[in-house]
Amino acid sequence: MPEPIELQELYKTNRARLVAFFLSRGVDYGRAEEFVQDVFVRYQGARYALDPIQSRVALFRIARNLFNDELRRARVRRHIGIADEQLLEIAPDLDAASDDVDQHRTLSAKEELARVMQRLEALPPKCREVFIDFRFRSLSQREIAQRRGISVSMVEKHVAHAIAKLSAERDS
Amino acid sequence: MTWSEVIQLRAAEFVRRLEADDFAEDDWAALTAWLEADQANRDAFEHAQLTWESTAVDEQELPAILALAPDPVEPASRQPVRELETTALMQRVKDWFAKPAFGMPRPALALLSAIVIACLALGTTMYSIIGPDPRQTVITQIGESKRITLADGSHLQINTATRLTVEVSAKARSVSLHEGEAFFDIARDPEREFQIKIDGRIVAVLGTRFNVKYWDGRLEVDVVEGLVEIRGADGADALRLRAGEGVRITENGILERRSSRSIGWLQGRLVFENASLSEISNDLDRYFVQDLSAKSLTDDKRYTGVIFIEDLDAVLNQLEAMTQGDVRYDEAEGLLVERHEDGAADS
Repeated sequence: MPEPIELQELYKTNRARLVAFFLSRGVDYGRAEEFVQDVFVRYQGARYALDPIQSRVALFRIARNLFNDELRRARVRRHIGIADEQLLEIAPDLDAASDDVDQHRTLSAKEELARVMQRLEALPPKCREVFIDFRFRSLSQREIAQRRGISVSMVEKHVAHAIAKLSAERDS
Repeated sequence: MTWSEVIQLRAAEFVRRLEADDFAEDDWAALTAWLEADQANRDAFEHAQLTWESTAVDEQELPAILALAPDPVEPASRQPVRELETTALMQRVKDWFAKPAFGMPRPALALLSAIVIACLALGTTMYSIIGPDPRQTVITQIGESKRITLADGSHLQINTATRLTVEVSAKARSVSLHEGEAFFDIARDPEREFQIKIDGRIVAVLGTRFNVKYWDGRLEVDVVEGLVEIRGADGADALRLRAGEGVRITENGILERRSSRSIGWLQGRLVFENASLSEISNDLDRYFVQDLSAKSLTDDKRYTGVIFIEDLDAVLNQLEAMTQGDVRYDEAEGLLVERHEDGAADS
């Protein structure tokens, strides 16, 4: 079992990813940074003892919850026109989406690896090879095309297909 | 390839660089501009990020994943290795070792990678660059980009339509940039200054990373790391640039200091911030045989956005979108034309 990761380290490796997460949801840069601060405040408050991969999952779960909370609150506020503090009094659970990662995620690193491998193995063979070259070997599209003896546009097709498949699985 | 695949791949490239912990200021500018441009871009980014996140594994588990996609062993690799392939391979080795972990401390990895790269380099590239004559001219065609490694371990990524001459000897290291653009990753050597000569000017460094562009009589230098000194022909007007600083020097010697400009071309994209139509078209023109440098474009409007260097059609599409249709390519005339205000609803 890897050591639990330091908050400082966690912030360094995940800040950019999380900012991008909020940016892609139409939040402007300044607000995205505030969101990310909130994510780490919540993470620290929960006192998790997680390895790097688990803590990354936890951070994204918190990020998603924070964003959904914000949406929901904005919607309620619009509908009934009340301030945040009042809202908290009458509906405290609105502020408390579950960040409880341990419940959803007690997989060990080994189990996690097995799960990722299983999902990769479910991809068509050529698609899997190209995706792994792209995702884990960090090769350029041209390098992959040369290595695998296919065209660059086939590389793009395979990667796009893998993303469509893997991100859909995750949603369900 | 369909349009949605194109978008998905751009998103994936962004996510991949985020993962590599390799995101610089201009990457943020590019990503933000791109995300703001279209909901489809945001959706594609979300999918890519979800995919990366849900396939994250500990680095020591990486070999198990890689085993699912074994290296193809092709008879083609028996053929003599060409220079470009070797440098690509060296880059791959370097990238591979540049990543942290693998259970080894970084210095050990760095040493190991240096040894591997030295072995690869000795094989072909070093000889081909140095050869019997220490001077060698390298040319890239329009739309071509080349990576070369010099005998001292410095790397050059050479952009489109560039001509330069390399000279590395025991005493001196220099590159004469006749025209074009290159990104320099110069190996540190306190004994031998590295000089880039551009039309009487000298850009001098000891070891650092920076971009030099000389096009249309204008010289632009942008520093990513280290310290760069620019000297005039007589050595009098020396100018020093630090990391994050840049300068543009016009034909008439007018000097404009600014913060370091985007070097997005290394990732195949051009980032424009408050750029005029003529600046944009002039920059794009370097990448295509077709004439995109319409001289008659007006300069009163400014545009911000990112353009991915792909084929001409894709680039023109992006240009049209970025300028909200203010400019389009006239196929019959073979050049860029501006929208005339008469019929347009634009204010």
